[in-house]
Amino acid sequence: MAAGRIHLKIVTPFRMLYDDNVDMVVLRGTEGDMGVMPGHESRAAILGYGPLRIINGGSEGGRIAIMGGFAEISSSEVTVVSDVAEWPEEIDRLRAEAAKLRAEQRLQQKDNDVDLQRAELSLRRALVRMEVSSYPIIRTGKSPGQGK
Amino acid sequence: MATMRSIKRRIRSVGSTQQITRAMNLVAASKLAKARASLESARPFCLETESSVKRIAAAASPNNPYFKAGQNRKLAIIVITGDRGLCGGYNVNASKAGYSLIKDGEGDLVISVGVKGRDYFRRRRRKIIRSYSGVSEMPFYEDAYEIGMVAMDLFKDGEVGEVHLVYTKFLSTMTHETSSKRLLPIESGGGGVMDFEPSEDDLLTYLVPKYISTVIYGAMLESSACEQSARMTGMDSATKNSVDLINSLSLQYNRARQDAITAELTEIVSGANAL
Repeated sequence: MAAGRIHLKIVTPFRMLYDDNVDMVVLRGTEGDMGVMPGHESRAAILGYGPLRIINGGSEGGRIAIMGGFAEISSSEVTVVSDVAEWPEEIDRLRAEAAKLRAEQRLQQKDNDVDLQRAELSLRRALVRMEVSSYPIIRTGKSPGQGK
Repeated sequence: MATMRSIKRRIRSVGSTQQITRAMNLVAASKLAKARASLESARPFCLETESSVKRIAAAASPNNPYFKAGQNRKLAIIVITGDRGLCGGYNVNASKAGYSLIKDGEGDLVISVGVKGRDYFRRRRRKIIRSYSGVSEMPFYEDAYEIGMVAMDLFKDGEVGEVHLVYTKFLSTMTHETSSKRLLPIESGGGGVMDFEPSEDDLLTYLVPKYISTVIYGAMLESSACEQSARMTGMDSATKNSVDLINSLSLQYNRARQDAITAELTEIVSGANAL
């Protein structure tokens, strides 16, 4: 492993999204964002819904929408395990916007608890998707098993 | 010696069996391709989850209830088999491996996935607490989650002290390995220092159900690939056997035909001589 770089792995049930060395990665934990660089102390964290930022050589190395899951961090490796992870170009912005509107409507109706929870989750997903897809598409690193 | 007619009838019957086995071979081959594809795309996910959780459990404090075997000595055994037969020793091997875990007189519980495993344990009068059918061929994560929750509830309520999982590992099309592992309690201790966010308890409460269902999901995918490839190889050799059988039967048939002709000729000749 090259000095000063950290190995980032992102896996979902359907593919391995990312498997390469990066300079820094910013994760959205449930308690807030955390930047991880090589030599980080070991840590396990639940992830929230949010973008994951990759930074390579001081510049932006791409963003990935992560919908929950968990991360295991060691001094040389970050493993992100999530049910859903998407690159910006894979996100259908119009669909995300429609989902946001639908979820907002449902939240206003306030029918019963189960529906409210689901609507809230889908609203959060839609917001993350819209945020991630608004960034320019930057792709770095190998991502085996790429494509849908 | 068999008569010509009965040999002919056997050839025809073996031939139609051969058509069935050949068709089953082809169907299994295409199902295997599908099962392998989903296994291969999910394998990294399952392996990463498993190894991460193991490292996290090693660093966590051993007092968490998920890490301690219950007072109850009973086991819950999840056995994954197929719904259908004609796939060599696949179902029997997995069922036997599960059966060997059962201790006599302890009232161990079985959670069966697949009709064949259910029937196996039912015949042996073992207590099946829950059985699932129709999920082994094309496993979904939701099914694995449901099975996992049943097992976790049994463990949490103290109905059982340990939960084991028996499945068949897919090494290659030709080699499968029946294996079993303990799902609960999760092995803990062994060192390592780790920070937990938000807190150790919250993290484990979130992670353990996910871990259990992911491991079950992976095992179901492995097993389904094994089932299809076992059926494929089984049906392939059955087709080959029937080819051999037809060859030897045709030889018998031709011999019988020759004999009949010879006998007829001798009759005619001796009849002519007698005149």
